[in-house]
Amino acid sequence: MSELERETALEVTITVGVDGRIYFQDLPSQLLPIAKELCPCDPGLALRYGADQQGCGQ
Amino acid sequence: MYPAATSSARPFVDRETLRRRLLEARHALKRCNLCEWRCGVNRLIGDPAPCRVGVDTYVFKRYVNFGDEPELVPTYRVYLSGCNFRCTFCNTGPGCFEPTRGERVDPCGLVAELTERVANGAKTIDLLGGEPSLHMHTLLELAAEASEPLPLALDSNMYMAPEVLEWLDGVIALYIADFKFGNDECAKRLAGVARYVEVITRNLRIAAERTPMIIRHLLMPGHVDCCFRPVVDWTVEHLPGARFQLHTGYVPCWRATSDPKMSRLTSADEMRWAWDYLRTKDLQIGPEQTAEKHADVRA
Repeated sequence: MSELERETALEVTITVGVDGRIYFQDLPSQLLPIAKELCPCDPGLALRYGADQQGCGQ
Repeated sequence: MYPAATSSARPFVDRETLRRRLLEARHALKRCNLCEWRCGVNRLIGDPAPCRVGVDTYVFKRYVNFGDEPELVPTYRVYLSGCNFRCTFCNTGPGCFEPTRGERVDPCGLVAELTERVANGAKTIDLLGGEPSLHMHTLLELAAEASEPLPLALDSNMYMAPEVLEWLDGVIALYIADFKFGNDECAKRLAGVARYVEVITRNLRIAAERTPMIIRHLLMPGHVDCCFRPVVDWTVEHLPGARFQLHTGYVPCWRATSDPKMSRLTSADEMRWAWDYLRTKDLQIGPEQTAEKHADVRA
């Protein structure tokens, strides 16, 4: 079982770079909607969000 | 077409070969030369190795991740404990250096878990650490236990002995190779390892001949000319057209916070220069990063 399924907290690092970009070191599905809100125009993130919406990896 | 550890790219090694390799791998632990430290310790009785890894494998973190390269996600990340590098900026250090951190791996149980993940849609099993190649015997055991080949990706510093690549041939579906340094001096100072360029470039060539590969490079502050550029130039010259992923989300971690050169974020100028340089090269660099507010997910 993964960390989250065992109800163990998953440590993630999120950084705002000097260029204003937002960096996610870990991106579990629980963070995807938040990332999408923050970065609605990011093409790579859209692909990831799409994979999650298809129910992959649950 | 990008490489991917998906069903179409799954490798296959017959069980007899796997069993033979497993015996050889276990025997090799008696005098371990699995990486280019070539320390020769007996891991079966717990002799102290530079990596401090014994015979058992421990997992300290695992979860479904959407932050890897888009063609790989969702990945199921499995973090194996212990490492033969001591990167001062390690984002999982120093915890990942502890070889018995987490839960001891029961190969049968872990295979059942990984098989379930794949059945539920995980495209890639991302084995990382620490350094997962130190656990080669366990990786072979996982492959031997699985009823169907698993889409295993080895997320590695590529400092292994070439024999390891032979043993893992057909077991690993994808190498995610961290090409961190462009010269031996930076590798020695920042990761504590010798002969870095010789070893890594040898292994990249060997791995690329037989297995799909993604080469990753983390852009480090103040290391554009000494590391980023030589890494790109070598890749273009020797592996033209390779899948290359630049990560610009460097964050000072662990000992880097007290290193004058490594304790800052990568500057906007350094990032711009690196991306401009990369775009002129014969490499597959993944989705263009053009959004003003951009989420750069990194390993």
